[in-house]
Amino acid sequence: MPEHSAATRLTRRNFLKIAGIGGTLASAVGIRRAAAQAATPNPSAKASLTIFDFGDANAQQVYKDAIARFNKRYPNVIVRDDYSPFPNGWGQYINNLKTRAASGLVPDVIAIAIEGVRATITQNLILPLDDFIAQDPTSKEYLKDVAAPLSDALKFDGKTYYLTREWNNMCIHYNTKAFEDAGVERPKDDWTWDDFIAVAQKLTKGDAGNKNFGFGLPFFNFGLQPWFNTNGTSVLTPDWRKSNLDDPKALESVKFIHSLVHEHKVSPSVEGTGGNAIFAMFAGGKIAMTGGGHWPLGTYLANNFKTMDVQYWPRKTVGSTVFGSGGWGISRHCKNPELAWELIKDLTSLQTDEAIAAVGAAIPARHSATETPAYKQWPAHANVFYDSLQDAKPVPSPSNFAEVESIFMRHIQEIMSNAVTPEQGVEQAHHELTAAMAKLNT
Amino acid sequence: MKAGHREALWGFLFILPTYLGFAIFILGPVVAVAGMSFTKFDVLTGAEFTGLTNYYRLFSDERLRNVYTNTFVFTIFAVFFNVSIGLALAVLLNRRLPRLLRNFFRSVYFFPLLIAHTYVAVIWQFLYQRDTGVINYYFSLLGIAPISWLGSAAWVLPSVIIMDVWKNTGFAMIIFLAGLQNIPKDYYEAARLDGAGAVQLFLRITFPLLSPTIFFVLVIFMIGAIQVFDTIIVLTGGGPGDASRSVVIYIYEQAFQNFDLGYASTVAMTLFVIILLFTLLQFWFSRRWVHYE
Repeated sequence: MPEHSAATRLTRRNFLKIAGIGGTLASAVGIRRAAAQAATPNPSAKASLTIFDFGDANAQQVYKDAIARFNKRYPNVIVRDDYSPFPNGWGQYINNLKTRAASGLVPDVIAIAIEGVRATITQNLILPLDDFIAQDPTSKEYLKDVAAPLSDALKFDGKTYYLTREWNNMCIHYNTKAFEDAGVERPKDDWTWDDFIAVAQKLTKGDAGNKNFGFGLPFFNFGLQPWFNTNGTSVLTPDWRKSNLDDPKALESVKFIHSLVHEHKVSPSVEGTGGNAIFAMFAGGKIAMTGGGHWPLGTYLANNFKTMDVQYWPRKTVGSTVFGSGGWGISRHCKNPELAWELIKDLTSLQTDEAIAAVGAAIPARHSATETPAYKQWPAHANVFYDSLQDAKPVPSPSNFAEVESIFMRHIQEIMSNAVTPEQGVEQAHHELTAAMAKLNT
Repeated sequence: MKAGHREALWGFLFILPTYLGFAIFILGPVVAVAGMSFTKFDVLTGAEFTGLTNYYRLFSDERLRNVYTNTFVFTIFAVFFNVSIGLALAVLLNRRLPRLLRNFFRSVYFFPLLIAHTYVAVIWQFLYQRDTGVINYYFSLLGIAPISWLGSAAWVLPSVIIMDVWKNTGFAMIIFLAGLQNIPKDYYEAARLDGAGAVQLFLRITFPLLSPTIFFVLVIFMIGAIQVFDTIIVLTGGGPGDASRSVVIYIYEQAFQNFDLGYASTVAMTLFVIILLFTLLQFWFSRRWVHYE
């Protein structure tokens, strides 16, 4: 990675010329701040930067190394990387950040997933990065390496607020040994919901308290979205401003999810299987398939579970899945945005992304990092993770994401517990979501 | 300064930390919450005075009715079982047992209290799982159909109460044991000489002399149960739906999920008033059955 911007290679005379003309223009169009932001900080600058971050132990080590590289360039900058756990979903992470901001302890650099992007932008917490990107020649190389949907997912009103750090989607994880034992072949790339049920039924064995299931429903907001996307619908309208649960296809998707546990009985009851618990059950051989992204791979490896592979999500009407990209942004309250930008450059460098690829965490933002042997060697069809991006839809992430997630999951829980029928539950969820979104739009 | 005044000054100085702590951490927040309950307040923007709007909203909030019902059901059963089982265990362990055995049993019943709620909840989630859980596995061996412990609205509160009693009854037991050991042995010996049986000993000596301790445990457990949060949030998250959501979880979600601090404060005020009334009622009622020596 180049360590000096073009500005440092200018002669004094040229600099004065450009500064003279540029300064006049900048005043005229009001981009003085942009010019100031583009200046490369002095390598001996003394400052401290705080990061609001997420990630497992492996990812934490990767970012620690990236910070060490930053500190080689800026040895007098103290970087504190604060990790915020969020066992109850992204809503909790966003709320942790908001609560921290409300208490006046706004971090300088914010790592967030797509679920929190709009929330932080509309709350005026984040600085647009367009000026940094325009002024920094290294940005071109970075943006060329990152697929457009990943960057676009982090934009709002045409402005870029975050640089993609990594991303995840949902694919089908399957136990290759369980498939072999049951004489089931790897499903086709364009398999359907019906094919999926047939496969899951073949893999469901045993009875009562000693049952092995063909599938384990990933029961969290992100994990449920592919059932909507592959049916050509979504929980919210495409602009994420209204509930879309009055779409008959949404009800059809919910009924299908419900049927996996209650009608086809190919998936265990959903209680206690949220979060990462389902991956523990999958690695333990209790279920033969589940849905997940690239992120559980590190856990599988740590438990010496290697007999797994991935396939695209089965479709009802369209081949699709869900994806969510995470990003690095700079807080509006950051006193040293130029240094924060330099730090983000190290956090998004190819070296960092290759390390992310190697530890089996999320999918790295840079495509070139997914071409490395470390990333491709396991599972056998590791390419499915990246290739599924072409049809994937970003997870609906309005600025009131935490509230939307809470309403959606609460009603889905009621439906799965048979306290209400899918029709009743979806109608109630639509009613409540409509009110929540109306509040947002006023 | 006169000696009497000096003494009074020192007295005030000694109690000052307690009063300061109370003013800063209890009274201050209560006053702030009371103030916020009349506002529309998002933590990131300013508060806007809205009068009684939040209080009117209480009456049309169906979810609030549900979470209050859950909280009362949990409180009644969790307090009843925690206190009665804790008392029974204490009476049993207060008998003459070999010291080793007595210490073993005391440790076994007290041990769950030492484990963090999060670990306990994760373990119980595995135990309770309908299709892969240990409890239903053994039930299946007995021919009992699997119970959806955490997945059905009917069973989820009993499941939470079972875990809560398993975890907390040891605390009640320890306090009762301390109370039992303060009852002079002579009373029992005298009663036995008069021909009293085990039931009479308990009803005529143990219960009256232990009544201040029972009252203390009841008040402590009742306040804790009405404010239940961590036990439920880690075991069920309040679900399925709202089936196990407590008032405090609801307040937390309104405040830090929906960022509606005004309404969250209003609900918090209702809870404050209810706990106050319940506690006053208990103190009033205690005159009839609590006997101080």
